[in-house]
Amino acid sequence: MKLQSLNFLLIVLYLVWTASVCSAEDKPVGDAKTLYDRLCKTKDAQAALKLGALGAEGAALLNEGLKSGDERIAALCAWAFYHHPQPSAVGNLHALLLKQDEIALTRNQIGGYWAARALGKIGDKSSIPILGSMLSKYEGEVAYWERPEDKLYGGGEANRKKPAPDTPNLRVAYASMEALGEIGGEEAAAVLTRGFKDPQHLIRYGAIRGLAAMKHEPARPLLKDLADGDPVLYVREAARRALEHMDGKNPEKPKSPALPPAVVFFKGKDVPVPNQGFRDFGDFPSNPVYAWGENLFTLTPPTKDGTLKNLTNLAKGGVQGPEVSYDGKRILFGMSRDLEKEGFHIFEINADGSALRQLTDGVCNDVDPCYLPDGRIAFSSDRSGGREEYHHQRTRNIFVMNADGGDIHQITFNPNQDYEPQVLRNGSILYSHYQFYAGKSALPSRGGLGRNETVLHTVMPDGTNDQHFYGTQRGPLYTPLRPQPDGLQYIGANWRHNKEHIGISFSLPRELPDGRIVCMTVSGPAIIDPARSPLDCEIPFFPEIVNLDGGQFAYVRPAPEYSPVGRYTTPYPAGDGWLWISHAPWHDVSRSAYGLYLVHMETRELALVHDEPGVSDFAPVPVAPRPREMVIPLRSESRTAPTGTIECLSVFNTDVPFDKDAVRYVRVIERVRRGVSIVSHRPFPARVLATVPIEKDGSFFVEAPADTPVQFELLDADGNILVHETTHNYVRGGEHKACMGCHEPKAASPDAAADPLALRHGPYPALRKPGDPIYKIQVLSRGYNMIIRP
Amino acid sequence: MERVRLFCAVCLIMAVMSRNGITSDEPTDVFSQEIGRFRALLSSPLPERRLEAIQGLAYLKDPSCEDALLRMIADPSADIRREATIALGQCGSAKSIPALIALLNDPAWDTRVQVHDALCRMTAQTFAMDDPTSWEKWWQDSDPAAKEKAIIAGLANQDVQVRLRSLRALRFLGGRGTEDALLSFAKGRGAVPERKLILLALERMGTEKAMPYLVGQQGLTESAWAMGRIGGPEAEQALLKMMEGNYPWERVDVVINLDRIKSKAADRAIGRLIYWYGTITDNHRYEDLTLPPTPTQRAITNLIRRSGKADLVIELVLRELEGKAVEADIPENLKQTIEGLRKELKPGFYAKIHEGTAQALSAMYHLADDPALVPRLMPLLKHQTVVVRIYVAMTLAKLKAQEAMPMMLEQIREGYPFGDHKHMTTGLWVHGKHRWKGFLALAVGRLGTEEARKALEELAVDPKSYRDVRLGSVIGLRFIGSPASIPVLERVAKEDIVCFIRESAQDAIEDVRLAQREIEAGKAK
Repeated sequence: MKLQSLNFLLIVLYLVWTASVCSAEDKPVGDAKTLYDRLCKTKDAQAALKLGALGAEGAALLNEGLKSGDERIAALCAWAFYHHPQPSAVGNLHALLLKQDEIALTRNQIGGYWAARALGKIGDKSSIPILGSMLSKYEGEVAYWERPEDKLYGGGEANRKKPAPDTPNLRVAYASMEALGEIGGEEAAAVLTRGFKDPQHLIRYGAIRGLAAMKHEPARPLLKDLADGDPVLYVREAARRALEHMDGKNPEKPKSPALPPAVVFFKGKDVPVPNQGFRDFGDFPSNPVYAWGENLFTLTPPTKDGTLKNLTNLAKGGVQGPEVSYDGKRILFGMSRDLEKEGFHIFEINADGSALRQLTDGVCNDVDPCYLPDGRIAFSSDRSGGREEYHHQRTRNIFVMNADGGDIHQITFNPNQDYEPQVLRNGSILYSHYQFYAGKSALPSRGGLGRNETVLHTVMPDGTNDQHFYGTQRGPLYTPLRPQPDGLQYIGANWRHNKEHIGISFSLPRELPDGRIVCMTVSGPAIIDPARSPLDCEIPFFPEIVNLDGGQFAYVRPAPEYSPVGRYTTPYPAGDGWLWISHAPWHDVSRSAYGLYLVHMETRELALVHDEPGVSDFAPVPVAPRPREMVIPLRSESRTAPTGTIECLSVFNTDVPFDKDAVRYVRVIERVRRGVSIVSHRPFPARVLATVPIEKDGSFFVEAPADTPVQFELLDADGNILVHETTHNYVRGGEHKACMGCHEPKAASPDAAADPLALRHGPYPALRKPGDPIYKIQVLSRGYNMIIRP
Repeated sequence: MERVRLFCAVCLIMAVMSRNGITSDEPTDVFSQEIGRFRALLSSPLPERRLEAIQGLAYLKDPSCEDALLRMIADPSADIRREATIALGQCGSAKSIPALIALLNDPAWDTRVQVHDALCRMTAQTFAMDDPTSWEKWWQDSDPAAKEKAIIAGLANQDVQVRLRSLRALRFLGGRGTEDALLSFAKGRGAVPERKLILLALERMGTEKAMPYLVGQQGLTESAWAMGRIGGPEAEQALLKMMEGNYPWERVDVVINLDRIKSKAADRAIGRLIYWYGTITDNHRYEDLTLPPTPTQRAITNLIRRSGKADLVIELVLRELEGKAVEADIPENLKQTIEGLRKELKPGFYAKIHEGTAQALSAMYHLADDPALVPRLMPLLKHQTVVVRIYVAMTLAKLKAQEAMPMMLEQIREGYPFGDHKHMTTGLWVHGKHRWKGFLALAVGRLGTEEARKALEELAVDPKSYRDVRLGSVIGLRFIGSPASIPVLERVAKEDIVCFIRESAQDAIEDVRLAQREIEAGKAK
C-alpha cells in the first residue's frame, strides 16, 4: 500500500502535459528582439514560445516570422500562436495556410499545419471558409498531396508527378478539421459534416474529432453511422469515442499508471532512431546498426528525480536491446565493449549492476535478446551468414540458446533479416521480419516490384510454424492520398507514382495485456488487434502522420522535418492504457532529442520522465517482475530431419486477381542464398525444385528441404507464370505446414469438412537434385547451369 | 614518333587479327555440347547424374533424345521415371505415347500425375488419369495420320481452348501436313499464346518455307529457337537483328541459336555481346565466379572467337589495365565497351550502385586461353582497382598459372583494415568496408593444385580468416574436389560460427563424395 501511495504521489509530481511547455515557467528571458534573433538564427523553439508569452510585443515579432519566407521559422511562430493565441496573427496565419510549398507547389506542410491549429485556438470565425477550402474538391487526378521526398533525397523529377496547383496538403487539411472543431458554430459544423464523406480516411478522422470537440448534437446520427460502418478501424474508433465524449463518458484525464521500482534504458548521443524497420539503410551510421546507445542505465525510481545508474560504463562501446527477466532481477542486453574491435554479444547483468556475464562470443553480432519462458534465450544474429537481397547486408535471423549461452542454434531462415524477438503469452515468438521483393511482382503483367517491407512474423520456439502475423498489404493505409481500394499493394499498382521502393514497416512489437500488439510503424506507434481481419485491425496513435513524406522514403528513413507530432519509438506497455516510450518533440529534429516519457494510448497525454539535454534516451523497460508466458514443448526432429511438408488447401483462396481457370501447376522455387558480394540491389538466384500439377480443388502438397527459403508460383498449361509469391516460406525438419490462404484472420480455421484432393496421396517431392535449373533472378531469366528455355 | 607508334600498333592488331583468322578450330556450339553432355550422363551409373541429364534434356526440348529418354522410364528409381516422363512431355513424339499410357499404372503417384499431364499436352485429349483404358482405346482406334488430321481439324474450332490444345499437340503428333496447316492457320493470328504454340510446333517440323513467318515473330523467343533449328543465312540475319534490339537483359535465345548456327558475323554486335557477359559488379554477380561459365557466356565466347575478334578484345583490355591504351586502335564498335572499363579503373574501386560498366574484364576472363598472357597478367594482380584484381586472378587461375598463387595468398592473408565483426560490407555507395578477398580464394581453388588445396584448407579453418575468405576457401575446395579435403570440410561443417559457411562446407563434402562414387561406380562397371 505504501508503495502504491508513493507511486501516486510521484505520478502527480512528475506528470507534465504537453500543453505545459508554455506554462508559467516560460517567462520571457531577455528582450523580445534578442529572442527573435535567436529564433531566426537557431530556430530555437523555446525562443518562439517565450515570444508568444510576451503578449503584443512578442506577437508583433512572431507575425514578422510568419512572413519571413523561412518555412521552419514560420512554423515555429505559428506553433507559438497555437500556444499563445493572438487575434493579430489571423491575417498572417491565413496567408501561411494558403502559401504554396516551393517544392510540391501545394500547401506548405508544417507551417500550414500549425497555422491551421493556431487559427483554431484563436477562434476567429473569418477563418472558417479558409480552413474549409482545405477540403479537396476531388477534381482531377489527385485528391490530396503532401511534401514529396525529392528535396530530402534527390529523387528524379521524372519519377514524380506534380499535383495540380492548389491541391490541398493532406496534413494541413486534417489540421483544418481539428481547427474548425475548436472554432465551433454552425458554419464550421457544416464544413466538418462535409468532411465525414471524404474518401480520405484521415480527413474523416479529423472531421470526427472536430465535431466531437464542439459536441455538435446534430452530427450524432452521422457519427453513429461512421462508428458502425466506416471501413477503416481507427475512424470507427474515433467516432465511437466521439459519441462517448458527447455522452460525457470519457474522463478528462486518464488514470495514472502504477510505476515499477525502476526502468532500464540506454543513452546515446547522435543515435539513429531505433528501428524504422529496415534499419541498415545508408542514412544511418554505417557500422553496426542495431540502434545502439553508449551505455545502459537504470533510473530508480522512474521519475524526474530518480537516480541514474550507469550499468556498463563503456568509453567506446555500444549497448542495445535491454530486456528484464521474469523475476525482475536480471537484465539481458546486447553489447560491444569496443565498437572498433569486437561485435555485439549477449550479456546479462543483475538489475543492481552486479555480476556482468557474457553469454555469447565469436566474430559476429548477436543482438536483441529476450528471455524465453522455458529458461532459454532468443536473440538475433548475423551468424547465419547470408546476404540480404537489397543492399547485401548480412542476413540476420533468430537464434536460441540455453541460459548459459550453450547450444546456440538458428530457428528462423528468412534469407533477408529477422530481429527483435518477443514472446507472446501463448508462447510463440513475435519478431520483425524484413523482406525485399526484388523484381517480383505478384502478377507478372505488372512488371517488377522492387519493394521492401518489414512486417511481423510469429514462430514457435523450435522454429516451426513460422508465419506472417501482420503487416503485408497494409500499404494502402499508409498511402491514402488518392481514394483507392485496399489491397492494391501486391500488384504494385497505384501505390505511388513510380510504383517502386515502396514498403511498410512494423517493428519493435510488444504485447499489451489485452492481447493487442503495440509496435512502431512508419507513422509512429500503432496498436494492432490480431483478433480482427488483418486488413482492418490497426489503430495508429497519430493518424495525421500516416504517409509521412510522400509514402516512399518514409519506409526506410525517418523524416522528422515533416512531422508535426514529433518522433516516437521503443514503446513498452506500462499498464492502464499507458506506454513507456522515447519521444522527441517535433521542433527538435536532432538525433539526440529523445527523452523518456509515458504516453497514454487513447488520449495521447504525454508525461516526461527523464530527458538529458543533448543525449537521447531509448528503450525504457520496467525493472519489475512480470508473468511468464506459456511454455511450448520443443520438437526434437526440427533440428535433424532433412525435409518437411507443405500443404495448401486451395490456391484459389486469395484476392489476387488472376485467371483461376488457367491454373495448372505450382512451381516450387528455392531462393539460393548468397554469402559474398561486393554489389547491392541484386536478388537471389532461383532454383526450381519442382513443378507440381495442382488438383482440381486448388490444393497441392509438397515435400520441401528443411530450413530452406522457398516460394511458389502458379503456372498455366504452357508454363506461363500467373502469380508469383513475393514472400518466402520454409519448413523445419519433420514439420507439416498447412496454408489456408494469405489473408484470413489469425483465428480462422479451415473448413472441417474440407477434404483436399492433394492429401489423398503422398507429398510431391520438391527436393534438391543435381542439375536443378538455377536461374539468375526469376525463373525465365538466364540460367546459370544449363540452357533453360521457356 | 606518334606515327611510328601508331604503325606498330596497327601491325600488332593486324597480327592478332590474322592469328584469329587462321585459327581452324571451330568451337562446337553450346547447344550441341549440352546435348552431348546430357546424353553421356544418361548412361551414368549414378541416379543423381541421370536425373541431371534428364532435367537438362527436358529444358532443351530436343526430340533427338526421345529414344534415350524412353529407356529411362523403365528405371527402377521413381524419381527418374517421373523426371523422364516430364522430359518426354517436352521432347517426345507419337513414339512415346504407348509407353506413357502404360505408365499411367505406375505405382508412384507423382509419376502418374506427370504422365497424365504429358499425355494431355501431347495428344489434345482429356481422359482422366485413372482411366488408362480410354487412353489406350483412343490410341488404338486410329493411325497417326488420322490423329494428325483430327488435331489439325481442331484448329478450326471456335473454342480457343480447343485450338490451344490442338496447337500444343501438333508439336508432338504433327506430321507431313502440319507445317502447311500451321502456316495457313497462322495468317492473321495475333494472340500471343497461339503464336507461341505455332512457333514451338514449327521448331519441330518447320522448313525454310516457314522462315518468312518466323522472321516476322522476332518479339517472341520461340522464334529464335525455331530459327536456330532450321538455320541458314536468313535465320542468321534475323537473329543478328534480334540481338541489336533494345533489351535490358541478355537474349539467351538469340545468343544460343546464333551459336547453334555457327554464326561468324557477331562482330557487328560485339559490344552488346561483351555487355551480356556481365560482371560480378553488375547484374551477373557473385554466382558467375562460383559456378562454371553459364551456357550464355560460353555461347558468347564461341561467337566472339568465330568472329575473329577474341584476341583483339583481350589485347585492348590488357592495354587499358596496363595504362598503355592507344585510342586509335580501338575499333568503333568496341569504344563504348572500353570506355565503360575505363570508368571503373579507379583506385580501390569496387562497384557502382545499380550499374557496372567493366564487362570487358569478364570478356578477358572468358576469352583468354593462351598461357602466353600470364606474364602480362601477373603484375595486374596488384592493380589499383579491386575488380581488376579479382578478374585477373580468375583469368590466371583459368590459365593454370601456378606462379600467381603466392601473390594471391599474400593478398588474402593481409586481411582488411577493419574487424570481421564489421557489418557493412556491400557495394552500396555509402559503405567503405567491402570484402573481396574471398574471390581470390575462389581463384586459388580454380588453380586446382595440391598446393592450392593445402592453402585453402588452412584458410578455411584459420580463426584469423575473415568470413568471406573462409567461405571462398570452402567453395575453392569444392572446385578442387579432393577427397583429402573432407576432414577439413567436415571440421568447418561442424565448427564454423557462420551457418552459411557450415552449409557450404556440407555441400562441398556431398559434391566430393558424389564424384568419388561416380569414379568407383565407373571402375566397377
